[in-house]
Amino acid sequence: MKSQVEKKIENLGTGVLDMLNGLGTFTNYTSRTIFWTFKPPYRFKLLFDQIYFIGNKSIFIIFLTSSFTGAVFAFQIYVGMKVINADSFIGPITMIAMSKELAPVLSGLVVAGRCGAAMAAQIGTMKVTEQIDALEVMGINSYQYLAVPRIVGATIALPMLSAIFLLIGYGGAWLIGVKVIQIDEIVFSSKISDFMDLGMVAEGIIKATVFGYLIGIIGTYHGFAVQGGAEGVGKGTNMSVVWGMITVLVVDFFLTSFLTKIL
Amino acid sequence: MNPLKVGLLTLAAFASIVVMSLKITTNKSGFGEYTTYKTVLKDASGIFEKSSIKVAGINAGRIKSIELNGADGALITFEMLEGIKLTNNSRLKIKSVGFLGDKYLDIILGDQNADRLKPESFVMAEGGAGFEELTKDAGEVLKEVKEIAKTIKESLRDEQGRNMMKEIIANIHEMTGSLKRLSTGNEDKINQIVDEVKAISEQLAFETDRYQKDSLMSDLSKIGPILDKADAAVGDLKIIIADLKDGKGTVGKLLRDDAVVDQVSQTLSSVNRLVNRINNIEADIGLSTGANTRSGTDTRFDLDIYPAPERFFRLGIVTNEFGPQSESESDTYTSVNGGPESKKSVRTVDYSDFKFNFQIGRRIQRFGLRAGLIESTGGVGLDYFLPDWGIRTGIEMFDYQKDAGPNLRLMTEVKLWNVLFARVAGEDLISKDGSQSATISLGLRFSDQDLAALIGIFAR
Amino acid sequence: MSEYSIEFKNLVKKFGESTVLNDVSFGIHKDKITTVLGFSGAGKTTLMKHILGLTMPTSGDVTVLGTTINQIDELALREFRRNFGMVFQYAALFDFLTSFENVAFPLREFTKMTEEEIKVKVMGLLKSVGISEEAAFKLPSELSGGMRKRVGLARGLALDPHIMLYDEPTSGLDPITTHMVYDLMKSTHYDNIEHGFTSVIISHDIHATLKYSDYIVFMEQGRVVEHLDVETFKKSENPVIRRFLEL
Repeated sequence: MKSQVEKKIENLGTGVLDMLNGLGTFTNYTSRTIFWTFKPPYRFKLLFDQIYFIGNKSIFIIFLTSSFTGAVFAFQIYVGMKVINADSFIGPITMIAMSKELAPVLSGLVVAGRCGAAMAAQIGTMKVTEQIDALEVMGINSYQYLAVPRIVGATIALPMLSAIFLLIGYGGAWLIGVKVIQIDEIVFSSKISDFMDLGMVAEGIIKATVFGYLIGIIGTYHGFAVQGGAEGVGKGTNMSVVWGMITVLVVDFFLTSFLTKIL
Repeated sequence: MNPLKVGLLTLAAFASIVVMSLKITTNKSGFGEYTTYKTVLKDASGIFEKSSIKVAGINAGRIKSIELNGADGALITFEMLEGIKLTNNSRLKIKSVGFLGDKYLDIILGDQNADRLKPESFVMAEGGAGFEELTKDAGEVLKEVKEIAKTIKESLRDEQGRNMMKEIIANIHEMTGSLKRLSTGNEDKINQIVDEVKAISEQLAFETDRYQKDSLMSDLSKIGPILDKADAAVGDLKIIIADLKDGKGTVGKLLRDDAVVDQVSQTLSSVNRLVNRINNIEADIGLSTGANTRSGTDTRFDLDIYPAPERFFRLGIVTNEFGPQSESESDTYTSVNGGPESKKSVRTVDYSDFKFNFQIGRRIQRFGLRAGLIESTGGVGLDYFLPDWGIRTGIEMFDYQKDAGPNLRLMTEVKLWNVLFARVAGEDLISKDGSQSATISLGLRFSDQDLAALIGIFAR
Repeated sequence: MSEYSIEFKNLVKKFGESTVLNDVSFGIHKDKITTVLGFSGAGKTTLMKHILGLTMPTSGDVTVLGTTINQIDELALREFRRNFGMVFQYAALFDFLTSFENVAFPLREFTKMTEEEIKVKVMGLLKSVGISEEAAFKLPSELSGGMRKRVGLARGLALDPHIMLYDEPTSGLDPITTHMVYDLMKSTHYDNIEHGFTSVIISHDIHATLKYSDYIVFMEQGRVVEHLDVETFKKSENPVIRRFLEL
């Protein structure tokens, strides 16, 4: 009869082994998707469908998120900067934060929540209803047909969404800064160009590209990993969103320190 | 349909990137060729690689690298746009942007006439005026204020100190009251004084800045070599003065010998009289060109010299295709086969290209009478002047020919504007062979004052 | 030339500690309808997955149409799978495509047929399985269970396979529809037998099996208990089979 402590240690060991096992499976999955990305036939129609789903269909929520984020952030910066009479810095501080962090990260979180979940649900449902087996039986590689368009589509769509997020966020910040707080428009714009450079925009775009890729990989991986019926699909969807968001936030940290050095 | 919508999304994304890039790169030093320079700063804190370098507040370059340069400080390598000319006089300064103290390098270009610095050259750096300096100075001031406060506190400890303080305060109160009474009603004067003091101090600042072109200090800095030369000249001057005192040389004699001084004085008087007379001579120049209705162009140059207001001489050159001519007749005799000779006469008329005027004249009030050579023939002329209207009108008679009679010319000249005039003349008015014509000209007439002004401009 | 289109030689499959197939050795006759019977968990579906190469054996070999499946690379295996058609338990139609598009899917992926040719073939296949033109443009969610199975059958036949696999094709269907599906499977088999056609059915339905099959393979706990023709199977004295027959 095992004691509580022994059971706990056993559980811990099992947990670690499961995690390693999962990491190995994930790595194996990632390498296979990379392999199948560069193997013909190239399914551009499926790719465009996915870019449309991830990109175009997310525009509305990106618009809402970015406009309010820009406006709120500008307002909060104003509250802080007013104390030291430096409210003309609203423009640059908001835009630097938007371009380097808020645009890629918030876009990533939106896409992880919306599209990562959808990917896991779609593929998971196909898994439990044997549609993936049907594809395999027909001689079609299910990774190539299902995963690759989604991964590549997310990698392409997210930086585009991030760029649009940045512009709309600027609009929101401008609205608050120039029209509400009444900062001079020229001062607002000129300070932005004084303190920002193209490297910051590039940093945001690079981050968004990496996030897009990771969200695609994670979403499709959890779809393929679904087991059991509806409950399994639900679990897979949930894991996809959670891991997608965590990955975006953690990778953001490492990317920031890496890109700050090289850009 | 999806590829189209995806394409629109891609377009929107690119447009967003372009718009944001344009927003970011206004005021940037932008694209172009750059030249690398170096400088050494004692303290490069707050300065980073890729920090902007500004000229007159405009981004004109950026910092490439910052390295330690031993005990001298930090070696900054930076690049400036090719269009910005750095010279030996250019200076580099650390400045702060706003209260938060973000630093940048500011370049004062200096004298642009100096030679351009070669790439990789060093640019002089000056101490910064950033907020670190300010806070450092503020710290020192506060220290002194603290000491003063301590001293005041000690002096107020005893009765005598307090009484003195009360007296001082009372005096200050009285003084401020007087000042207030003085300033009330005199604000305008005080403002004027302040403005003048400000102007003076700005001027002083300018003059004392040796890097400003045309400033006193920059001029003074050029004086060094001049002073050396002056020193040598003074030495020579001493020797000369010694000789003069001894009456050596012409000048020495001039100074010591009375007879020589008298002679020189007489000569100078004569010269003075001559110069005065020359100064009193006035001149008037007229230059015109026009066209005659029968014969083509007519170009004239006249110089009127007035040694006295009532007397004048006129010298001039005229070119036209009518007027005086020279005639020659040549006879040619021919015989055919030894038969009787036949005579053939050929008359050749030459119109002179250049004709000369030389007349002596007299002015009587508004009339001018003159006689002499008119277009290389003898003639007389009478002019009438209306200076208030800028009009002169006249009549000339010259070039008498046996079968044609004299050429009677009637002319009127009108001042159009400043030195510009127009002339209309009727030629050959009493000619019997119907060769009357008209000449219309435009020209420039310079009076004595105009000539003096012109000479003054050229002399400058 | 072997009489078997599919052969299993000492096939063993383990998932961790559990042995799902235990030394299975038999052959499926060419051009015949063979049904694999057994209780739940007997290893029937796993056996079928080995035929398709969806699962690789722990040991032993699987030979299909002369090719040892577990010894060829993935790309060759994918090519080889075009010899198969399969009807899944719940049809496994792609729910984002209509019936027509489901059947046309393999034709678009693997053939150079024009859209017109595809339309002709697909409509012909759907008609042969009793799907109307109207139903052809409905999504799977708009079809009944039986209709979905028939569309699945039409899709399986699209590439003119040599081996047709049925994984519990009548599961969840009423008896009339069950017999209709079995009739369809039988007619499909004999319509295509000219160029070689083997049908393998996994089923629990003993009555339909006895009626429509040529051979029966009975499995229990990962082993093949019996592999007999139908008539001999009916007379088997094996107690497990007798219990099954008496259900």
